[in-house]
Amino acid sequence: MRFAILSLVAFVALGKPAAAQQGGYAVIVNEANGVSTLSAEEVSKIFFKKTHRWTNGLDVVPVDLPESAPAREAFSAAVHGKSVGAVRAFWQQQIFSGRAVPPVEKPSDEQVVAFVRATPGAIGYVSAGAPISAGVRRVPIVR
Amino acid sequence: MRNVIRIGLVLFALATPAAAQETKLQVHGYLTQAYGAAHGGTFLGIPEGGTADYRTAALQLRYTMTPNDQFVWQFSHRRLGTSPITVGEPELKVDWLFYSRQMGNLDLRVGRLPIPAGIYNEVRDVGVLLPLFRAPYDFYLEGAFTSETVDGLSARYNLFADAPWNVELSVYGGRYDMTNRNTAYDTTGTPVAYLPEVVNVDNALGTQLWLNTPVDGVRAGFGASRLDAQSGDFKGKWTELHGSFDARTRWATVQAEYRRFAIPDVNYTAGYVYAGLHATQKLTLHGQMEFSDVQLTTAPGAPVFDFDRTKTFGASYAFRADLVVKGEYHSTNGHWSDAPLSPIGVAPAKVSYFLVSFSTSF
Repeated sequence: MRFAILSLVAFVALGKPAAAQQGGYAVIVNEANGVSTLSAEEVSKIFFKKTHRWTNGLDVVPVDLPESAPAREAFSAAVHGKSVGAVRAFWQQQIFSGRAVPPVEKPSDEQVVAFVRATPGAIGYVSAGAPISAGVRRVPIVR
Repeated sequence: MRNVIRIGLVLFALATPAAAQETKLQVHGYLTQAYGAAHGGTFLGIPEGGTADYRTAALQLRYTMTPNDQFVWQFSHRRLGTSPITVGEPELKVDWLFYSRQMGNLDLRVGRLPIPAGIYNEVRDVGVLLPLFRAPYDFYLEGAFTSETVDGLSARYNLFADAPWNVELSVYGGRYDMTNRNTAYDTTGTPVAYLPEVVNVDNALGTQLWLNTPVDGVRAGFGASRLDAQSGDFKGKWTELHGSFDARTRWATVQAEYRRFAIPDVNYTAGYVYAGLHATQKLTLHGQMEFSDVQLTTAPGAPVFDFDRTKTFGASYAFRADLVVKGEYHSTNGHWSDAPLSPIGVAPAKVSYFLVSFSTSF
């Protein structure tokens, strides 16, 4: 048991704190997704896994950037109206009450784009200036 | 439990294979390690000389088959110093083992699963989510009268999910064991020992309803449960009702809960009010008042006795959402100390204790 406890402590101690930088972001979906615009509230519900299906019947699959990504900080503030830490606290509540786990996390803009391109129901966000390749398109967020 | 596991395994086998999302195993865990010392007696395993043998920890494995099908396995470990509650408890036990299927706004579970009851029952050992070391004791208890889990089924449905006012309704049913406090008396009727006993609970049925308001973080809840308890020759039907208020804003958190148990020969009522002031993003100051009363129902018009009154003050510092240090002081005046339970009506014991703890999770 002591080993397990030490491992837990080491695991957390090695974790990186969230970056404090701000940056822009762009929401992207798979090209096959018919959605033209989304509201910030709709996107927030998707990333909190409160919306499960697109109107075309596909399962919604949100994908996040790491907590240290400036685009994530900007996305959390603009879409959820919460800090990355507050969003993390929400997911801790979900995880440890056995309900749900956070969206899939990809380490870079390129990998988010690749995941969204490969997954018809996926929705993600990347840094504002990140290149968007074929098979993926930006979705404007309306206020 | 075996039948429940069998049903879970069948559902697990019938689940459609992963398609759009990556199939994967996720591992999560939490740990809270504390040091505590008491004055005036031993309270919940915290002796006057102090103890660091005081912690909770769990490791959770979650296998996601599809975005809608998951299998969750959680092991837990608990130490409560010298408390008789943990005597004979294994170092590591299966806390949860359930299959969960999401169908739109409906979530079905089968197996050993957490009981939805009040604000904290499902997360009562998760230090990073609790304002203080433990959920308010008079309301949530620890061992006696309550359980964190049930072997059975549960369903949760979100009504009017897209509306500003929406309702989250949970129901559950099944069985579980709980550890009850019992007292041994000598021939003169003097309490001499504090004996934990296992109570078998069958036909447990319960519900929890949350009304979420348009104000983010503010909700009100109501719950009820009934069960058949048996321990040795003792058999009886228990019923329980509770109500909750939970408001979490950027600057402050206010929570209040009230519950009433009707068990053979006894009515037990308990509640608490908690206020947390978020002085900074990381520093929170805590204050809490708890009470519990007992009324013997063997004779009509029996008086209500103060069973416990506890005041708590504390502070916590969250270095990050997953790394929190807490310090807290509790002043209790009642019958929950680890001394053999004194007969109801006899002067309660005044015991105070402090706890310093750190909590982490991943």
